[in-house]
Amino acid sequence: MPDVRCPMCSKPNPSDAATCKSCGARLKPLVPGESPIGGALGRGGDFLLGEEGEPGHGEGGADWLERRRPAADEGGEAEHEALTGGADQSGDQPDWLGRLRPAGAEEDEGPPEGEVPDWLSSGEEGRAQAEAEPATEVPDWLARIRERHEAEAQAQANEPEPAPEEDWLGRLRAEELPPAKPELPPARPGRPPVESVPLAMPKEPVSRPVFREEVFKDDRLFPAPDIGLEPEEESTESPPLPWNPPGDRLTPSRGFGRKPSAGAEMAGDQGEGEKPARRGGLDSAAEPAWLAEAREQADDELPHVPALVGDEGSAPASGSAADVELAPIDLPDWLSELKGAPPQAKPEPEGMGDRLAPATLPSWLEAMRPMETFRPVVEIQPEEEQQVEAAGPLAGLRGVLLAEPVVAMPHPSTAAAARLDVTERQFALGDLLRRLVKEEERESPAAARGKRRLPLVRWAVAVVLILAVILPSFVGGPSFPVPALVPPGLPSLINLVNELPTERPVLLVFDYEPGYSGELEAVAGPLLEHLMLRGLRLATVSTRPSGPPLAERLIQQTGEMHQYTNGEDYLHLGYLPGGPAAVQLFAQDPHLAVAGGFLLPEGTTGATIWQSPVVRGVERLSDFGAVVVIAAGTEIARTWVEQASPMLGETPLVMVLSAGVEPLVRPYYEALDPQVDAILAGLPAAVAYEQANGQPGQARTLWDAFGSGMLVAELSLVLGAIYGLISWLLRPGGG
Amino acid sequence: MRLRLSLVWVAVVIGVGLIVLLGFFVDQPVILDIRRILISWAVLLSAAALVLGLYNLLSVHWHKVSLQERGWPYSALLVLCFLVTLTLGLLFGPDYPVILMLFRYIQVPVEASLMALLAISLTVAGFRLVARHRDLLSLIFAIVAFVVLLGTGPWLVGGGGGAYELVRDLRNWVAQVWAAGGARGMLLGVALGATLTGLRVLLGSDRPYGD
Repeated sequence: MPDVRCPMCSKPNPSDAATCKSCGARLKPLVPGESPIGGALGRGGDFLLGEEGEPGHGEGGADWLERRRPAADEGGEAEHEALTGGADQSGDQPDWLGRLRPAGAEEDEGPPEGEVPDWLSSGEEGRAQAEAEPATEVPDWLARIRERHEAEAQAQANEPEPAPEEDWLGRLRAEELPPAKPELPPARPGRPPVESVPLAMPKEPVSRPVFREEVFKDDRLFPAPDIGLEPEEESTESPPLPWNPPGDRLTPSRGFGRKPSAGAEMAGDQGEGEKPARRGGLDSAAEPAWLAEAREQADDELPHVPALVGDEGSAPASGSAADVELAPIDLPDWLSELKGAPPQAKPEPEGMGDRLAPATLPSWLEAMRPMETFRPVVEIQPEEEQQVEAAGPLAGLRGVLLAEPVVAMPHPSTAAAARLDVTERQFALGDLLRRLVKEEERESPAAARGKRRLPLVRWAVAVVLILAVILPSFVGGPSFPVPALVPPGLPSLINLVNELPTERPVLLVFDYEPGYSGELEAVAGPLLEHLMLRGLRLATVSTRPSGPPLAERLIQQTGEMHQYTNGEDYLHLGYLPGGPAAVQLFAQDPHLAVAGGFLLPEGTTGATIWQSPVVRGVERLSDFGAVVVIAAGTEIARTWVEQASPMLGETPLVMVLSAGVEPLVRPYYEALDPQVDAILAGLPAAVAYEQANGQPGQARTLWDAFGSGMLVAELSLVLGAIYGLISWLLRPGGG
Repeated sequence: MRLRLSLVWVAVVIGVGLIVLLGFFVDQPVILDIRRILISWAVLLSAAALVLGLYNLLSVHWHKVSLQERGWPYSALLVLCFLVTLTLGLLFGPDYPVILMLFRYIQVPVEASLMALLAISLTVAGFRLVARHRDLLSLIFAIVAFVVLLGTGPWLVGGGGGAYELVRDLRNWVAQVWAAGGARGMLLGVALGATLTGLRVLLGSDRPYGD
C-alpha cells in the first residue's frame, strides 16, 4: 500500500496510520459517521464516563460540572483548548456532527446562497409572523422546512407534555425573542446544535460541577453526545440557553452566549461595543457564588480569548424548546432557580475587543502541531507597557518586535572562537616578550655603592687656582707686565668718548647679573672714569631688577674722586620691566617707559624724574649723547642692538662686554653698516684703557691675579695632557 | 564657537603685529601712537608674567616644605628670604638701605662666588679632558683653549716679544674669524628663524596663543 504523507511535515507514514509518527498530526480527517473510537467522540466520551470511564463516576454523571470549576482555575490554557474545541471549522468536524449532518444535509435545508436573510436575527415570534404571511411569499426551501416542522409537531403532540421545569427554555426564548421577525430557517447545516449539549447532562443534580483538566486538553471534548435523537429533530431551531452549558462556557464570547437575536450577528453584523455573551444572558445577580467566582478567576487569569473560534458559527442554533427532550435531565438547583429569569444581554464593556488575542491559534490547528512544547504563550502586555521602537522604519510604533536589542545591542558572539595557529617563531617571540615583561616586573637589587673617591684632582686644581688669584693681591707677586699692545678698537672708543657732547647726558645700561660684577666693573670702570673725566651727565637704566643697585655701586666706586652727586651728575631711571618690549618702548618713548626711579634725590619722583637736570631735554633715545650697554650675556646685547639702534639716529652705541660675549657681538661692530660703534671687552682692554686714561684703576689691580689665574688654567691643561699621555703609555697595550 | 573664537584671536594677533611692524616703515603719528600703546600693553603683560613667575617659585618651594621632600630646608630658607625681601621691598621700596645692604653684602658676593666656582670647574674640566679623552676633537679643543688663554692673559716673561705677538695674533684670528664666523652664522640663523616665526604668526599659520 502506498504511504500517506503527513500534510504538516510531509513525512511518509503508513497508510493505516491515524497520526503522523513524526509530528503527531492527524493524517485522516474526521468525517461524519466515523467510528468514535479514537476519535473526538471517543475521547469526548470521557467527559461522560468520568475519570474511570464509568458513567456517573464521582458525583454521578454530573461531574462535568465539578470538573468545570477546577478547569476554570487552571488558567487560560485549558479553557483555551476547550474553547477552541467547540469551534466549528471546516474539515474538523466531530463525529456527532457527522451523524447529525445526514438529517440536515438536505440541499433544501438552507436558503440558497446569497439569499440568506436576517434569519439569524429572528425568533419564535418571527417565525410565527412568517407563518402569517402569504404563502406566495414563502420560498420553496422554507416551505419544505415548514412542512417538516408541522410533521414533527404532530408527532410531538402525541407524546406526553414535558415537565413544567423543562419548558423554561421555551419560555425564556419566547420572552426575549424580538416580536416581529420572520421565521428563520433552521441552523446552518453542519453546525452542531447547541441544544444537544444540555441534553447530554446527567440526570443527577450536581451542586458544583467540576471539570477535569484532561477534559480540556482535548479540543473536541464538547461534541454533542450520543443522545439518540434523530437528525431531523436536531435540525430544528434551538432555543437560546439561559445559562451556559459546558460548551458554552468554553466558547468565545461571540459564540454561544449571545442573546437570541444573534442571528444578525451570525450574519456578520456584530456590534463593536456589544458585550460577548459568555454568560449566556444569565443575570449576574442570580448566578451562584461559585460560578461568579469561577468566572472572575477565569476572567482574571484568561485575558486571551481565542479570536479565530466561533466568531460566526457558534451562535446558538435556533429551535424551539419543544424540540428538545428535557424530561430526563435533572437540572441543578441553581439552574432551576434561574429558569424564570429571562436572560438579559449585558452590554459589552468597552475595551472588551482589546482582550481578544488576534494571534491565538484555533484548537483544531493547535492539535495538529507536532509538539506540545511549541505551544506559544503570547502575553500581550497593555499598550502603555509595551515598548516603543526607537530605531528603524518602525520607530515610534508601540508593540512591535524590537529589532535593536537583537541587532545593535552588544551580545556575546555566537561564532565559535577560531583556533589560533601559532608558528614556532611566533611562539618564540611571544615567549621572549613574556620573559621581557616578567623581567621588568622583577625588582632589581640596589646597586652596590661604589667606593667613594675623594676628588683630589678637583681639590688640587681649586686650591692652586685660589692661591694663584689671592697671592698677587696679598703678597704682591708675581707681577705681570701690562699689555704693550693696545687692543684693536680701543682707540676708536677713546676718540668716541672724547667727542661726546657735554650738554647731552650719556645713558648707561647696566644689564648684567651680580655674578659678572667682578669682571664688568673692572672693564666698565675705565670708560666710566673717562666719561666722568669729561664731566658728562650720566643716566642709568636696566632691564633687570638687580641693575640699578649695580649701577649705584659702580658709580659710587668710580665717582668718589670726581665728586659725582646723585640727582645732579647722575640719575638712576630704574628698572624697565618687560624685556625686549620694554627696550622697544624705551627706545620710542623714554618718558612712557620709565615708571619710577631708583634712589631718586629729594624732590624728585617718578612723575618728575624727567624734570631732573640730569635728563632735562631728553625726549627720545636719540637725545642722549651716547648709549653704553654693559652686558654679560648675548641675548641682552642683541636686544639692545636690534631694538634700540633704529631709534638711536646719530647717537653712538657702545658695548661693554664680558670677554665671552664679545665674539657674538663683534659681527654688529665689524659690519659694513655697523650697529655698534665701539666695543670694550675683557680685562686686557680695560687695563689698556686705564693706561690710556693715565689713571690705574681696578683693572690694573686685578691684572696680576688675572694673569696668575690664566697661568694656572694653562698649566692645568698642560699637566692634564702630560698625565693623559703618560697614562696612555703606561697602559697595557698602549703605545 | 571654538572655531570662531580662534578666528578672533588670529585676527587680533595679525592686526597687532602688522601695526607694530608698520611702525618701523611708516612715520605716521597715528601708527606710532597705536604702536606705542600696544607695546605698553605688552610691557604690562610681561610684568604680570614676572609676578606669576614669582608666585610659581614660591608655590613650588612651599609645596616642598609642606611635604618635607628632599632638600626641603633649602626651600624653607628660600621661602623665608623671599618673604622677607618681598615684605621689605613692598613696604619700603627697592632703594631702602637695608635692601641695598642685603644686595651688596649677600647677593653680589654669593653670585660672584658662583662665578668663581665656574672658573674652577672649567679648569678642572679642561684638565680631565686632556687627561682622559685622547681623541682628535678633544685634542683640538684643548689646543684652541690653550692658545686663547695664552693669547688673552699676560705673560710672565716675553710679554712684548715676537712670540707674544704671534700668540696674540693667533688668538685674535681664532676669536675674530672662527668664533665670529660661527657667531654670525648663529645670528643669521636666529634672524631667519625670528623672521619666519614672525611671518607665520602674522599669517596665522602659527598660533602660539592656542587654537
